[in-house]
Parts: sequence; structure tokens; C-alpha cells
Amino acid sequence: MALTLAFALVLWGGRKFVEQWRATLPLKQAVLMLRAAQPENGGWLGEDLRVMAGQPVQLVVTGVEGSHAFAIGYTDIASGLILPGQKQVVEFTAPAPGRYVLYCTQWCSPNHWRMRTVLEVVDPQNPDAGLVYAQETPRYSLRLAELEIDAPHPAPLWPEEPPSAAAGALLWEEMWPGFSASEVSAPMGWPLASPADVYRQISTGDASPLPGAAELEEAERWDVIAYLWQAQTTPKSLALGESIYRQNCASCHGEDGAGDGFAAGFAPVAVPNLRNAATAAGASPALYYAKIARGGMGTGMPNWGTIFREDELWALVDYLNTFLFDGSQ
Amino acid sequence: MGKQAVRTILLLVLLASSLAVAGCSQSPAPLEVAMADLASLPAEVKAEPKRVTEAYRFAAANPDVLSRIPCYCGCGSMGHTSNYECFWQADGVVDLHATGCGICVDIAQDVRQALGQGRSLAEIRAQIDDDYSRFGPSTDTPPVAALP
Repeated sequence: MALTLAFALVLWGGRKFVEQWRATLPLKQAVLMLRAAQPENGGWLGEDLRVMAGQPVQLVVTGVEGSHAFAIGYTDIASGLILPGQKQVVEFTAPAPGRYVLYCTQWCSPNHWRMRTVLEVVDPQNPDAGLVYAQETPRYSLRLAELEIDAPHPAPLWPEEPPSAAAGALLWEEMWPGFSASEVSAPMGWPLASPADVYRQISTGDASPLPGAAELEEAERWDVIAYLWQAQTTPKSLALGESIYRQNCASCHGEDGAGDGFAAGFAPVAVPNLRNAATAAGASPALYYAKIARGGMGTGMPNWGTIFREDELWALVDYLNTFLFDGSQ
Repeated sequence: MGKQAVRTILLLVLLASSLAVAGCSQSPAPLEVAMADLASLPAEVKAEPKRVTEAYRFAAANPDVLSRIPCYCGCGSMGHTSNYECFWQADGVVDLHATGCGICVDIAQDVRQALGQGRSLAEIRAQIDDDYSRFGPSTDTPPVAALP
């Protein structure tokens, strides 16, 4: 009996020792092979992509047909252009355990938006554990069920001309020099309030959070709202939003948001005109965020929430508002 | 052979097997997942990209699975009660909703992959909820435990 126990102890100790010893060894490089075909023929072809967290990875992608490029959501990993017969080799260290979407960043066909696959990164200490998509704590705690993501959002009133954030800044300086824009916009419901909601709030005479705003001309009030919007963002975020938009959204939504991108005609529903102030002024930042993150509902809009990080999603929201407001600094 | 020798051999065999187990970090080969024939799909679905036709084929062959998986595309407001109904209506008639939907197909493909990895339906549903509930309300889908 004592001998058996001793054997068991030796076994257990031996196994622990080997496990710990293995954990100190550098992980061998994983070589993953993918072929890039048109999405109609399968898109990303090859074995399941599965590596260990911290493992050096060499991802070799060979072009079969069409021209493609890839990026991996929630990481900075991206390839150059992949043309038929050519190889792109991208080396990286596998990120934290989780699932990551590898997606095409080069418009390649009307089904370009379907060209996705998943990179699974397992925990070397617990390789059988279930994995979920990489995610971050949301910047705002939004009650999505109350947002009515798919409902029309007509604005009760909207600016006739694109309001100017620069003109709004001058007015602000003159009328409310002691006020901070963020302190004023938070009680007005940012990010759940649409521009039209904010317009209504500042136009309520004595109850206005901005004393005297109700006496301003309508166009001036919209300028103030453009300034409030601009104060929530930064030039860096706007530049990030613009770069993501141009790479991933403009093909359908159009370079300037008018819904007339070269691929708009392939979408199963009409692509909305984001420059239409009558609807854009009725869309809260939270609504835009939710629409981008989820997509879906048979509209041909991909779900970007499994790909873009919080700062990227909000940068896109900031950029979309340049279609309503004059975003010049 | 003496008792001592038997024990020594046993110990060596067990040690070797424990080393082998400790060294094994490869995932098992994917299990076979039932798929309906491509030929059985209606023409308008057959014309879709492979990622979509695969999702329809998987749904057709696994109604018991997908009818217990919620969809987060927003289709609950259309009366859908599970991800299955984005592909096939209750009477087996095709639903073209998923041909224009990204998240419906992504969910079905995730379920297909997890099933191939040998995950249980309860685990898969938990994974889908963890992955997609942050994007909006789900369909009102019967719980896994309600399976016959």
C-alpha cells in the first residue's frame, strides 16, 4: 500500500515536473498556410487556424484568384496585397487566448464582406478550454434593447446647411467661457442623445443647459452643437475613423457617406445616405455604434463588433458625424 | 519475474505515458459534422458564396442544434425564435434572410466549428451568448434543457 502510494507520488511529481519544464521552453514557430480564393469559391481556404498564445506564427497566404489582403481584428496584424500566384508571409506572435476574425480588407467581389475566417488562439496551459471572440469592456454601458437599432430615426428638426464646429467654438468662447463642453454634454444624455435631442434641449429658454442659447439664430445653435460634438472627439480619433471607413465602409456607403459607393448596388437593401441631415440629426452616437457593431438584420452590413476594438468603433462613430457636421478643425 | 521488477516496469510505462500526455498540446482532428447536400439547396441559395451555402447546409442537417441557438442579428423583432429560422422556416421552406445577413451566418459557422470540436450544445450556446449578446437583444430561444 505504502509502495503504491509512493509510486503515485513519484508519478504525479514527475508529470508536474515535465509540465513545468515544458512551460519554460520557447514555443516552436507555427506555420499556417492559407489560400486566398474569391469568396464565391470559399474565400480563405485551408486547415483550421489554431495556435497557442505567445507562439511565434508564420502565416503564409497564397493568392489563388482575385486580389485580396487581410487583417486580423483586435490586433494590428495585416498583410499587403495578395495577388494570384503570389505569396504573402506575415509573421507575428500569437495574442492572448481567444477567437480572432481574419477578414479581407481589399474589395474583391460583391461578396467581399463574406470573406472571413477565424484564428483560434488557445491557452497553452489549458488548451481544451472554450474560446470566445476577443472583446473589451464597452466604453459606455448601453441598454441595447432600448436603442431600437433597426427603427427609423427621423429627426424632428435638422440643420439646413452643415453646421460649423469652428463657428460654434467662437460662439462658445464668447457666451460660455467658463463652461466645459464635456460637462455640459454629459447631462444632456451623451452618447444616447441625437443632435436633434441636444438642439431641443438647448432651445428650451430658461431650462436650457446653456443660458442664452435659445436666443441664438437656428444656424448658430447648430454650430454650437457641432462644437459640442467635436469636443467629444480628437483629430487622432477622426483620422482613425476616416482610415477605417475608407478601407471597410466606403465601397458601399460611398467616399463621402452618400450611400453611393461602387458596390452599393449589390447590397440587399438600399444603402442609407448618411449625409441626409433629416435622418443623421436623429441618430445618436450610441445608435451608430450599435449599428456598426452588430450589422445584420438582412441588410448586408457585416458585424464589425467582433473585429474592431472600442476605440476603433467610436472613432468610426465620430467620423460618421463629419457627414452631418463640418469636421474642419 | 519478481514483484519488484513488475512494479519497476509499471512505473516506467506510467512515467512514459505521463510524459507523452504532458507533451500533447495538439487539438484533436475536427469531428464529422452533418451537412445537407449542396444539390438539395434552392437555386437562389446555391448561387451564394460558400460560407453562406455551408451555413444553409449545416442548418438543414442540424435543426435540433440551431433551433436551440439564439440569433442576435435583430430578427427577434420579425418573430424568429432561433438562428435556425434565419435559414429555414418551421415548415422546411427556405428563408432567404441569411443570404443578406452577416451575423446570422457567422453564428451558424461558429456553431458548426464548435460542434466539430466536440463541444456540447450547452457549451456552444454559452459561447454564442458570450460572443454576441454584447451586440443587441437575442431571439427568444427555448433553452437547451428543453430538448426532447
